[in-house]
Amino acid sequence: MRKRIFPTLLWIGIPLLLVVVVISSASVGAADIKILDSLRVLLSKMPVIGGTVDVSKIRPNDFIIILRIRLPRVLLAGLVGSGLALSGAVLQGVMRNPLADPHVLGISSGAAFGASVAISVGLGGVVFGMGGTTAFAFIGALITISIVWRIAFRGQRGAVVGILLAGISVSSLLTAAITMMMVMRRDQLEKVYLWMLGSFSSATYPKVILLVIFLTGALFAILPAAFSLDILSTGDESAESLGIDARRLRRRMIVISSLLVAACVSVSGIIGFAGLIVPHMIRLLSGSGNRRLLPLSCFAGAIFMIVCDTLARTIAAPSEIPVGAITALIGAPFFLFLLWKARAKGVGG
Amino acid sequence: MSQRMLLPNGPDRITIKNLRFRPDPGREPVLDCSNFTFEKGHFYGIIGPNGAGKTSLLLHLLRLIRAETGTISLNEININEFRRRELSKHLSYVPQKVDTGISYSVRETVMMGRSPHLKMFSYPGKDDCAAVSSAMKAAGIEKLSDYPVSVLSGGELRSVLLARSVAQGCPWLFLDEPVSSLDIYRQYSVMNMLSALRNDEGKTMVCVLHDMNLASAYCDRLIVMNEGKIVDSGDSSTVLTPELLYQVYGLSFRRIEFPEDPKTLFVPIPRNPRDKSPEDS
Repeated sequence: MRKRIFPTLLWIGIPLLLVVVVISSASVGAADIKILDSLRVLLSKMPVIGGTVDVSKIRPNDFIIILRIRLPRVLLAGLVGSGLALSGAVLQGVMRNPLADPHVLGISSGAAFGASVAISVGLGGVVFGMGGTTAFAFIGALITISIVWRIAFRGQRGAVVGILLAGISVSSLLTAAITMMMVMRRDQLEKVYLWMLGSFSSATYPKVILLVIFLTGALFAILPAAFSLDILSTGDESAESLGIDARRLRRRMIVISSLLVAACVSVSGIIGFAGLIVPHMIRLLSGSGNRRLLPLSCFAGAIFMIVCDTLARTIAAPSEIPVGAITALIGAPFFLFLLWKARAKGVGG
Repeated sequence: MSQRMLLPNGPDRITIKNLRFRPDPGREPVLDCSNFTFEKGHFYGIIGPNGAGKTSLLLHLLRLIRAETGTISLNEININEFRRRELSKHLSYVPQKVDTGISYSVRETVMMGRSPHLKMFSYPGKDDCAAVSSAMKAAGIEKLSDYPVSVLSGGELRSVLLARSVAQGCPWLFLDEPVSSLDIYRQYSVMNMLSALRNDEGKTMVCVLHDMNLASAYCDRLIVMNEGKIVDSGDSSTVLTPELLYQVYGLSFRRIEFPEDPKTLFVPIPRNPRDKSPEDS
């Protein structure tokens, strides 16, 4: 058994990489702005060194593109990536199922349903800086959450299977409803479809703030329970004999992650793979301990999503590829590669 | 909430009264024990055929199953009065296996035993690491330290879980068949380790076993269970008789005694088809 990669290296390397990725991806894009100029714009807004950067030669338009369009988009992608990876890591642990991802709870379908209603009705308008689609998606997600919880948390034991089944059933029910709606409003079909594939093209600062609130809240609630989550994943009886109220902890974690997923999906659509593979990647690098896994998954999820979104908006510029397609395109082969390597070492994922 | 701690020195005895457990209302109860008291400091062995209710009894004693009918008390305090964390400082469980789908290293797994002693937000400190190291040494698994538990053999995993319980540091240990599927050498080394924990540290062992000879060699108290009931119990040198074993297992046993050793061995006699069992007649 090889020693895991030196942990300090990960702790320094991954956050550093995130900073580099944020800055560099805000500097590239479809608009014809030199990368150096973009860097200057960003650096001029930094607190300490800001005053020393010369921005006199840069057009005001470029400021707007970088600060009002690209930066919120990069930040939003990062936050959604973090949120999905964090909730994926938590759900895999509490359900003791390495295949769990943020979308198993059915919440994403709820959001998609809400969004399709908004699109089919042709709902425009802006609520708190968010489009009607986002607002409806969020409401749809919350309603679904309350239904899934109600079904899943009934009864005493076997909660894990209950939650998975409730999530999957609600999910297919809603997908069916969406399909019906799309058939009736064929003219909106493309819009709904593209929403579901996920995109950050409508990123705004209010959305960024919404995600910051949800992600910080989730981190405050989840991180102190990291060690208990380690123990929970060895089984309910085992955890209870070590003083942990398994059912209560699982419930709490599912409640928190589902709220986080609801926020993520409402602003970005259903982006697959980030929540599934990022935690697995980190597990292979740092081991399964949640005290490392959860924070590192946040950073790595952000990096993964920003890179995917940057590719989505640049490789076919000026047109865009849905970011969900990119995450699957990169994620799936990478995941298969990890699985193939992991099998050889006997790491169960 | 005040930091109350019931029984700071651990329970002196655990008493069960009229414990009945019937998970499936249409069938016979899995557990139906009228009265029994476990006293501190003994090495209890629970033996009996499959489905006799041994594990159910163990899980009730640990409150991993809540008693629906009847009561379990630690000294005179009902087990339900305790908070989960308090219980986990008194009573420790060595299961046969744990879930390893998400796999931790051996050391991390043993560290989990320290959980009852950690405060919220706090991470294992020096004391915890020391406790983990000595528990791993006692169980003879230091070399496995960095292995993921998912690659361990059944026997190795058993040793890891035993080490986890030792690190937990409870005065009472409840073990579910700690030696089944171990090779004969490991069976004895595990039993020796449990004996040492009892003799040196005064821990109380409650141990489900299948091998009655191992049980009578190491346990000083035996509980024989059948069909959910405690059929007989008491000093391990007197409880076992060929008659009792026949009644419980439906097999004839021969008692073998040794002139220089007070221990006796029981060896099953393969049943001759011509013999008639009492049920047939």
